[in-house]
Amino acid sequence: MNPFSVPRLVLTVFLGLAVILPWDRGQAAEPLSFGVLNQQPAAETAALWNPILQYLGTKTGFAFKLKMGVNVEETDAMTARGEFDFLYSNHNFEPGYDQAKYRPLVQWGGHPLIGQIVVLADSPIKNLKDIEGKTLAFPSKDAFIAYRVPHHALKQAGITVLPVFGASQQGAAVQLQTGRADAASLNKMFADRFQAEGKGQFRILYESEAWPNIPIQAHPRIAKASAEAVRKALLNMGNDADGRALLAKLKIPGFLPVTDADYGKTRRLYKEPL
Amino acid sequence: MSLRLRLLLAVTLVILAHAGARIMLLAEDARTSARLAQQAQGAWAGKSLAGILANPLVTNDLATVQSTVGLLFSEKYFLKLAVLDDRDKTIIDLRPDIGKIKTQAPAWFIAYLNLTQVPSTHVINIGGVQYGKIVTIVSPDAILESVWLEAQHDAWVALVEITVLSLLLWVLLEAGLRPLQQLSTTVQRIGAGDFSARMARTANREFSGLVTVVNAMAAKISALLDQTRAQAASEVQARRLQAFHAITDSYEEIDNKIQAVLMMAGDSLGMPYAVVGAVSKDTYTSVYVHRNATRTLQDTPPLLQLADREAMQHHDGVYGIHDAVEWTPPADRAETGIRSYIGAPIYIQAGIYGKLHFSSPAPRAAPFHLGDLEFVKLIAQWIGLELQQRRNDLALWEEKERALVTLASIGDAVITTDVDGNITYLNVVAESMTGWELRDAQSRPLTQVFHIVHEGTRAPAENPIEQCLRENRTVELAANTLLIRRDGSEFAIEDSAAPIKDRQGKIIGAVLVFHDVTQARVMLRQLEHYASHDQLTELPNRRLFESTLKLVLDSAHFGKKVHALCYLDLDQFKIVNDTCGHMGGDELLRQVTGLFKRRLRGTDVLARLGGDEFGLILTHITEDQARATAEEIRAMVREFRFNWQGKIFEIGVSIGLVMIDADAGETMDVLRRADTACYAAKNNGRNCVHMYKATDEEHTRLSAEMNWVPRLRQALREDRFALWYQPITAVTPSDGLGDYGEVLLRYVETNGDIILPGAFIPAAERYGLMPEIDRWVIQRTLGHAVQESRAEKVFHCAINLSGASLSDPGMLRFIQDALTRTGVAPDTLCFEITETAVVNHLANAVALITALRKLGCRFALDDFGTGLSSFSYLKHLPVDLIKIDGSFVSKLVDDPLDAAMVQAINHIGHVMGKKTVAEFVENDAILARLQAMGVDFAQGYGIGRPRPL
Repeated sequence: MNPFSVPRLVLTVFLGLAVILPWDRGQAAEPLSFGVLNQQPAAETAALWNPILQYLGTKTGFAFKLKMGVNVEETDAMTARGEFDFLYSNHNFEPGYDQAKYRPLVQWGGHPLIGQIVVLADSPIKNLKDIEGKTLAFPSKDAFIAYRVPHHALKQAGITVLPVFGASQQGAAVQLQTGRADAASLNKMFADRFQAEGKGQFRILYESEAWPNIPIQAHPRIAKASAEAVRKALLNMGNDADGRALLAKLKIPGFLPVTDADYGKTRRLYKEPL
Repeated sequence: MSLRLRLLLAVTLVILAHAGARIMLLAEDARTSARLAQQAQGAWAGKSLAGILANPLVTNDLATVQSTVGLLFSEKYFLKLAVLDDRDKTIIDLRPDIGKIKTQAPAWFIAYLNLTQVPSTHVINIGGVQYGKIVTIVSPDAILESVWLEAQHDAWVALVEITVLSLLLWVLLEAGLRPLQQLSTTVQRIGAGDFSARMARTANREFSGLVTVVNAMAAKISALLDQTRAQAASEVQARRLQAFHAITDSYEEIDNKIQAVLMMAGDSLGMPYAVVGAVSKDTYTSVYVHRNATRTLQDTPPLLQLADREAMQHHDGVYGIHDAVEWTPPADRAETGIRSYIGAPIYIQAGIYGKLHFSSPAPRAAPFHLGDLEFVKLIAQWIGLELQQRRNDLALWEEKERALVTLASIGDAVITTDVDGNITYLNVVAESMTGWELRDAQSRPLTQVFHIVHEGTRAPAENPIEQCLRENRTVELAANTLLIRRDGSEFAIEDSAAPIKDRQGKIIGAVLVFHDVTQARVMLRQLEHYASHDQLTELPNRRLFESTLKLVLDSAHFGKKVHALCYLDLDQFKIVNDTCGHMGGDELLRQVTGLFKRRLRGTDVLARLGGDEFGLILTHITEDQARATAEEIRAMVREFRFNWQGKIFEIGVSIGLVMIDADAGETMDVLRRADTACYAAKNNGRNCVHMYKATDEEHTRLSAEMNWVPRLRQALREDRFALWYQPITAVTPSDGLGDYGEVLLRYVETNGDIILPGAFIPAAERYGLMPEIDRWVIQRTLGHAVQESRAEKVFHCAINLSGASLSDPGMLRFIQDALTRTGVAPDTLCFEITETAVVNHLANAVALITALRKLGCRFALDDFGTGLSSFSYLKHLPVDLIKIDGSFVSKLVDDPLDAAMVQAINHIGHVMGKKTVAEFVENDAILARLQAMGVDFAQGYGIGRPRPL
């Protein structure tokens, strides 16, 4: 058999090119999977993210498909397995879910994340030390700014509390209002809106430092150029008429630049035992 | 087939046709609405499922999609439910078994409706991304069910419509055909001889003419028959009446007449027995008339009596006609039972007297007719009238007898006249008073026999009979009428004349009744005189004087005349009265009256106002003349010497004079001014004339006093007085009597201010309130004493008694009762009385003092030394203590004259066995002097100020 016959040559060149050239899924016919952390019901997530993904498709020429697990654990597992080409989550900074080495491109815009521990405005509890041994309501153990951050702060301060979980920010606030908890740990943004809407008045016992918001990240298998195209498209949403119209329609702040180094302290905190 | 059924069938067919058409239309509607409803429900189901399936579709959780759809699928609602993914690949597709439709509607109905299946597709799109489709075919069962129910409902409505319309039709036909039935019945009745049968009127126009014709025909036949019967009956009736009148005309004696009528009637009616029964409250008596004998009630069957009596009670009108009364006679009675009976009530003066009935032991061949009953009623009515006549005759005779005997025996004189005023009757007293006997006086005009004149004028008085006949009413004789007797002697008479009327109210004469009032009239005159005159002096008394004064005031006011009023008060009358007794006093008054009269003109009026007070009105007089007259009278009295049993007394008179002009005011104002002036005359040293001049000060005082009266009355009602207490201490060691105190009265204003008695006592005295106030003080003081005794203390005190209380006839009893009730020891009480009070009411005062001293009370003579009387009074007064007037005591240290007075009074008091009390002891110096003089007690600020009790 002639090793240089034309068909063999063509096959060899093709295989060779396939090995040498970086394999870029962006060029493939299958849409790019875009994972989103389960922060709200899947349909609502889809209603929010599908228009963004369609916009991104228009701007980058790629096709995106929203993908998420039926619950946060499943999504986290998928994250760890690197099933998403792009990802909106911060759970991958936690040891155990960080194998895929996603690269942060942009972060969710608006205010940075700040956590607060609050009591009702007329509560006899005046400072953080007073909640020693008291009941403290958290949204859930998965909440970074409303659980992980304040929990660490309490631990650092040597304060032990009896934790209860309200399933959401709203749930934690209701636990406090109905007297089932003496204090509540909330996202500052939520706490501010809750009070502004006249639903209750809180006294702040503790407020965390500012933490970077949840990033949109790219899997290492995505070509840098493609990732960059996505990053630029997201950051330019505010500068583009279609993008502005979409942000206004979805009532979201848009996205901000971020670096991997910005999440160094987040990773460190995740490494701290609970 | 009857008309009724034919009509009913036609209506039913129309209704059924309508119902059928309606159901067809309903089916068509149902098909359309089923299609629309399937579309709408399918769309709704797709939309609802899309919301539920959104989450699992986004997360590509197909197992959840399948299980959720499986759970939600219901054969009842869906014929198909399928979910396809975004590439139209079936995820799940569910369908029920074909033909397994569950509904109440029967198969023929479902087949008839033939509803089609309408698929519906819903695309699931989230945020612009299609996640799949939901395909549904909604089951038409629910629609089928509702259309079936509606059809059933319509069928029911149709059924009800048929029923209602059938009933309505039935009613209409019944109403329309009824007159025909009536016509048939009526004609049958007339045919059977019932000519009273008539058809009822109908609103049905078609038949109303027929009804009128048939009824007119029946009426005509009935009238012809009645006419024939009436003719026969009236002939019988005419014969009966002829026989009845023949009997009543030929008999005189009433019982015989009745019996003959009853027998005739029994014959005519064919009834052998006739009974006239009288019913009184409890008894029933009857006359029993047989054809040949009259028997008494005992023979009347008792059962019949009972039946009659009940009939009497239950029937106020004509009795019912009985064809037979069932009655079986006892074995020992011969009578047979009553088999026929007819009767009527007998009335006398609209009341039921009894009844008349005819009866027979045999039943009647023919029934009674109306003429029989009319005949029985006529006889019953005639018997009633006959019996009434007999009663009236008897009553009239009795009445006349009674009247004559009464007139003859009464004490009043009675004369009766005819309508022309001529005498028809005089009773014995009238004969005696007029001097005319009945036989002479009869038929003479009244004025000849009854000659009357006015007592005062002697003018002929009006003939009362004439007046009462003219005015047709009872008239009283004029007052002060004198009857001149035939022999010229006179009687004062009184009484009245009244017309006599017949039954129709027409005057047929008059009666004059009078009696001798000569004695009564003399006594009346005397009483009138006594009521207005003083018996002792024969002068007008206060009442007559006041009414005369009112006339004089009117004359001054309206006639602008000027008069004068003198108020005269004898100065020494009490001395004469006390010294010479009442007879001496009376004689003095008579003599003084004579003196006064000497100076009076004919138009002046002198009156005794009470005691030794006289009033004198000098009419038409100037002030100077009045003053001169008063002065003359005063001088005359002064010169007069009253001699009684050898003792000679000089008399004085104090005269208050007040002019009466147009502005004099009311009677009481003038009298009060005159009284005030007289009081001033007395104050001026007596035996003088004081002309009243209304100074401002006096006005103020009087009006202030007037103002006090209502306040005091109110204070009494509201208990707004207070008691204070000033101690009186023993200066010199004394036997028996220890320290005590004087109870003082204070008026408490509504604002709490305390007013001293000097402000209100004069008003209380003037307006007669003192007895009441004194009672209040006594009651409260004793109450306080009781309280003290509970604390085992003895409360010794002195209470002031006013002059008015001394002469108050109830005061002694009041004090006695109060002491008994409270149990306060009388010897702890001392009553203080003023010299003036005692002197003005000496006799009463002495009686009161004596009675209370017997009980153990003490008496003190207050303000001694300032009064009008001399020490000689002291001798007659049974007092225990003398209170030396403070005006002497307060200046005792500086004024030797006052010291001498105190010394003298103290000495005389001791000589008379009385203790002495010095008032106004204001300091120790006075007290020391009093001690040196031997005065027993001291009272004043130096001893102790008054304080509330």
